[in-house]
Amino acid sequence: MTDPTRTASRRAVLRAAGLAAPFVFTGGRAFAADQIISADVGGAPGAAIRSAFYEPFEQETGIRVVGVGHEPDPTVQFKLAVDSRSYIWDLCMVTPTHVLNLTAPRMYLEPLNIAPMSTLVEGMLTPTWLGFSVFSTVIAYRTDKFGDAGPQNWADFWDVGKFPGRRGLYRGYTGVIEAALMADGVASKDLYPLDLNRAFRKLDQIKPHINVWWTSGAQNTQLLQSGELDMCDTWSARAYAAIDSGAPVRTVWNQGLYSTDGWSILRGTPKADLARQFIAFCMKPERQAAYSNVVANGPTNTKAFDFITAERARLLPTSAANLAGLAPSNAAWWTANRTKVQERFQDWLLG
Amino acid sequence: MSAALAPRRRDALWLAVPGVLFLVAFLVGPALGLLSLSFTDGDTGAFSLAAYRRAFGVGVYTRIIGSTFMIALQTMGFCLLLGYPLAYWLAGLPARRRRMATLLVLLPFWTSALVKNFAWLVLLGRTGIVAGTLQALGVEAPPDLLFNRGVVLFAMTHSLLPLAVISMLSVMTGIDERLRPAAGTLGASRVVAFWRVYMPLSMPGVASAGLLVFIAALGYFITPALLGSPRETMMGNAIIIQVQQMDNMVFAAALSAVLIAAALLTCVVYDAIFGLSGMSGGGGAVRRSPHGLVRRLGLGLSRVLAAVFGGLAEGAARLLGGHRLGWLLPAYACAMVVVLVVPVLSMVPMAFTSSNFMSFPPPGFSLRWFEEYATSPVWVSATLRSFGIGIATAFVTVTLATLAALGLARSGSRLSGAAFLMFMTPMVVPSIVVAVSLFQLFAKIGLVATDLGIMIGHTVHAMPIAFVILLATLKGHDLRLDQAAATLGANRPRTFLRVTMPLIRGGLVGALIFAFLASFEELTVAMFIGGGLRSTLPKQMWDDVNLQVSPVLVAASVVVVVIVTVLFLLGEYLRPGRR
Repeated sequence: MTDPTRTASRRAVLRAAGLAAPFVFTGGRAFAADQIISADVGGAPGAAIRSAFYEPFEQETGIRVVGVGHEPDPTVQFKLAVDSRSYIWDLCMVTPTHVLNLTAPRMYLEPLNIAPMSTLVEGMLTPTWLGFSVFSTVIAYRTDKFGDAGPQNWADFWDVGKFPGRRGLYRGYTGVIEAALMADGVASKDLYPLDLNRAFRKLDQIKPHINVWWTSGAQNTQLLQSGELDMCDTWSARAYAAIDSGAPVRTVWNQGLYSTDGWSILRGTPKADLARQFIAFCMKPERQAAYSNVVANGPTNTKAFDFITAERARLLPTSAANLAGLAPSNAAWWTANRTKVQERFQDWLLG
Repeated sequence: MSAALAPRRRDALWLAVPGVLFLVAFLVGPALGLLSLSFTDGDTGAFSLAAYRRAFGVGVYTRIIGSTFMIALQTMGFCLLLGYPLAYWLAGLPARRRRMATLLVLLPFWTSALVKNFAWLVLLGRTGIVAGTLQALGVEAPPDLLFNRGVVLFAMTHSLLPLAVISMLSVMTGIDERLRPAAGTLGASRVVAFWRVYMPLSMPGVASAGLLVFIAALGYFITPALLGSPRETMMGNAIIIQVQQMDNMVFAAALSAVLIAAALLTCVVYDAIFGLSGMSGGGGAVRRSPHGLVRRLGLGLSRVLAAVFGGLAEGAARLLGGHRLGWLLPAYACAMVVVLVVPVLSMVPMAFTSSNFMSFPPPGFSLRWFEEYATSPVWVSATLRSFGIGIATAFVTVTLATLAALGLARSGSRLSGAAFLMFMTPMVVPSIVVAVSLFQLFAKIGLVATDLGIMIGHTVHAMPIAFVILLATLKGHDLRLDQAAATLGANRPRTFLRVTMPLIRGGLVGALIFAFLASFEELTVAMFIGGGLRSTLPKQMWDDVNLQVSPVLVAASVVVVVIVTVLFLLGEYLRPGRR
């Protein structure tokens, strides 16, 4: 190797580094006045939210919405951002359980002051939160193993004699306690307050037969898709991600639980008015339909079904036929008892 | 020793001051803030020991603490046992081939832990290729390969083995090769020479590899969560659950404190036995070991092993009638390298898959995932940001770490032990604690959601690796050369630039590369400090892994492996003084 070559390549490297620098270090946070930052769940749902809500909103109002991904539970970052008054987000995608944690003992949410639409499902608009996407925890099974005759309820799921096969359950305890109680014969309307002793007695029965305690939604999809498991609890949209890829998987709506993703505004953000405008926009039935046509979660505005085919509607938790089998997850009970259940559940799992 | 030779001079330890100040500001300070939180009541803010009573009162947490230590110990044991022969083999290769082979060992280190774990899920799954092969070989019911202690240990060892190998290799390459022929002329067989000469000399590398692996393993959370059963829950998982799900910062802080205390205690015990901080007292051979007992025990053990293995080798040689067993080591090393590289290589076909999921072997060929990666502004900007932050981190870290390692190597001060511990501290603070405590600090000074903030966090994270590499290098560096330069009239900066630096160049380049990779791989700090606004590549992969298992992230990691391999080769090529 001669020296000129070496110099040349060194220079080339320096030049390349110099060219790349401006793209990487683009300074601090200098945002246009008509831009808001929205923390959503990112990934595939994030992309769907962008095409169904952010981009049409910008076209209509000129206000740009920048979507950023947040953690599975954004509560901690939400509180830190408000406490420190560093508004890295203006609004954030949260569930009713998050909302309860963010309203008491301290209020971290900005009032919405939005007039409700008459076709909105009851409870989907509170003073600080608008629900726009209903998701559900249901049973999924592989049809290559069971045909159409897989487990139809939690009692079947618990019946290892009648339905032999590899089973998975969520390691995150919410939904699992309810499933155990339903398997033990508790009607879905009588679930709360949860009878923990009864639930754990029932869980003892299934414990030796659980092959995988799954931890993330993506893992859940992978387990169902690859055939690692024959049956599993799942978030319906996750199961449909596997079904969409051609996996022989079916979901059972009976005895499912549902919860809702929605928007809340960070208390004290200077962009609160723009965020309110955006949240009101998210009530629109066409927009919610556009979202539910990509992600298999249900709209909260019943009028959205006017824009969704009957075939698609069968996959969505809020279509009338599916909603009949579902019970709401009780956010208030969970907020009050979370620590206690979590500890007991972890202890039980390790034991 | 240097203090004795140059009593007039200021102690060299002052060189460590910039690094120490940096770590005080961005690690100790924020962490102490978090720790003081652990002694409070979450609601009232008054002093309370409730969090600690809970940590040690409820069975589940004592069990988690126990299994965390068990897993970390076992991982360390496997890494040392499996890594030593590999490092030994590498050290014996000619320099050029060694670099190529080292590259292969490092390859899996560069690929995101998340991706590797998902690769194992695919390869070892019930419908995966390993189970399929076993079935084809006639095994009726293939064993459950996933979701048990074994696979967690396997994946963690797999992840940390390169770290162990590199740590041992850096010491082994410094061992004078002529010592063994010398032992031979004195009548020692090859086997005896290995056990009585080579092994004791390589012990500092083994010890530092053990320390690095053990402490890194203590803070693991992705592998136990994805590949383990609930029995493999580790403290990292418990802390993340408290922070992210339970929103209980006080309890998370208390658990962190337990983890930090345990790890620091390990460091102290290690320091007492192997005396790493003692290396700041001067050259290892000259140093009068304050722990003569341990030293004598070690030497005695090596003598016994030499006798045992020397006899065994002799017997084996007689039995096999002169058949050479020399092929065993290369064969073993090659097998290890293959196992190390498999999940990385399996990603290449998986990235070209036509399926919507990661599957092996892939059902068809397609370039769509690379197209999606290259045309996505999200992935491209994340890639550029990761490189920018990684390069900045590497230079800042190595500057601070070199100064500190120089200072420590020359200092006779009693404070050098404390300074050593200071630079190791980032390894014993779980990254989630670093991330959360830095977020609280940065929120006050406006560094949240800035590249600078992430870079500072990454510098904290990368400091120990760079520091250990440089300290090990400087330990092998003969200080008398510097002193000779000084007697010839060179001042300190000149001595450093003209004498020390050319001699420790290998260590410097290694430290730069490792600091870069530490930043490039880092997820937790980027997650919190980035605030979701400034996504680095691992953060983007994490989002993808959590929300959709899409082959885009495999395509991205293939691109990353290719780019980094090219960079590494370029670094080797540009390195002056190649032979």
